[in-house]
Amino acid sequence: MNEHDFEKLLDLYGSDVARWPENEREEASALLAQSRSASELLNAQATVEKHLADAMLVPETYGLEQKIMARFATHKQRFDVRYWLEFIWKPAFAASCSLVFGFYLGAANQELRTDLEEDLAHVTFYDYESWSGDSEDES
Amino acid sequence: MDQPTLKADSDEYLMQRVQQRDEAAFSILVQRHTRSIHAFIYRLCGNRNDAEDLSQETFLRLWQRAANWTPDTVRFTTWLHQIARNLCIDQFRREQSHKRTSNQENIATEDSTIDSLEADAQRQATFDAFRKLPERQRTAVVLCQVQGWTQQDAAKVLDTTVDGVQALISRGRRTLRDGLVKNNE
Repeated sequence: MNEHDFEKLLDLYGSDVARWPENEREEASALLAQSRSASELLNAQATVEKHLADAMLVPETYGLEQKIMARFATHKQRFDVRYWLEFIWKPAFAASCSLVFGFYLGAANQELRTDLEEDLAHVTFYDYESWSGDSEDES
Repeated sequence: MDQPTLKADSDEYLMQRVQQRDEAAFSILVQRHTRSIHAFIYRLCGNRNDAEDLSQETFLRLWQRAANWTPDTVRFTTWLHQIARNLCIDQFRREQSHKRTSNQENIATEDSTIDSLEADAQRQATFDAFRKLPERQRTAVVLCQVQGWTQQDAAKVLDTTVDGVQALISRGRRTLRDGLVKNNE
């Protein structure tokens, strides 16, 4: 392991070498024993982590839960209307689409049926005429 | 169902109750997760007032968007942190668009000896450098280094892979360390 490798592992796992993967630990410890720059890198990383931990201390909040519940009570009704609307808009949209499609299909079918009936009527009438004509001739 | 009965129930069960608009279940989730969500938001945005406002907003979103949560895809806490993170991103965008001057709080302690002032200055510099990290690096550092989350869980909040999280943490750590070294020179 060289210093470049060490720095990469330091970026990845942080300053606590004990938490590094087992196969890297031994080599890292050997490098730390002989390389001053590796030790400096490790110290810098440890300092950053300590500063960050100090800076990340969260101030105490008082009554935040109550504030959340109070705000919730104020807006609840509006939220619920929106929630149910969001909940039902998809099935409602799907149902409307099928309804429109059904009407369209029904109307188109009806047109087709009327045309067919007209054709049938014609065919029947002409067939009858020609049939009756033929039969007169025969007699 | 009354609160004492629900208090022992898992987040996932309570969330299913919230999906059926159960206010008692919602109230327990608020009690259970307010501190951790507030801490996460405070660490990301570094401002006490914003952290309180965004924490409130996170739980209101939980109620509003309860239908979007599915137990099979993501754990409840991960989902809640995703909501909080999205709100923080919106807040950062608003800040940038308004070119608001930074109102981040100083982290100096009450102790005011010269040594501690120096240490405070260093801490402040680290915190300022942290604030300048890209949002994804900051979130990865907060979740994995400060809050001790696994990289797998952090990956879900950040919508990336474990390799992606490792890359984000590595870059973040390197930037902060380089900043500290430069500051000391």
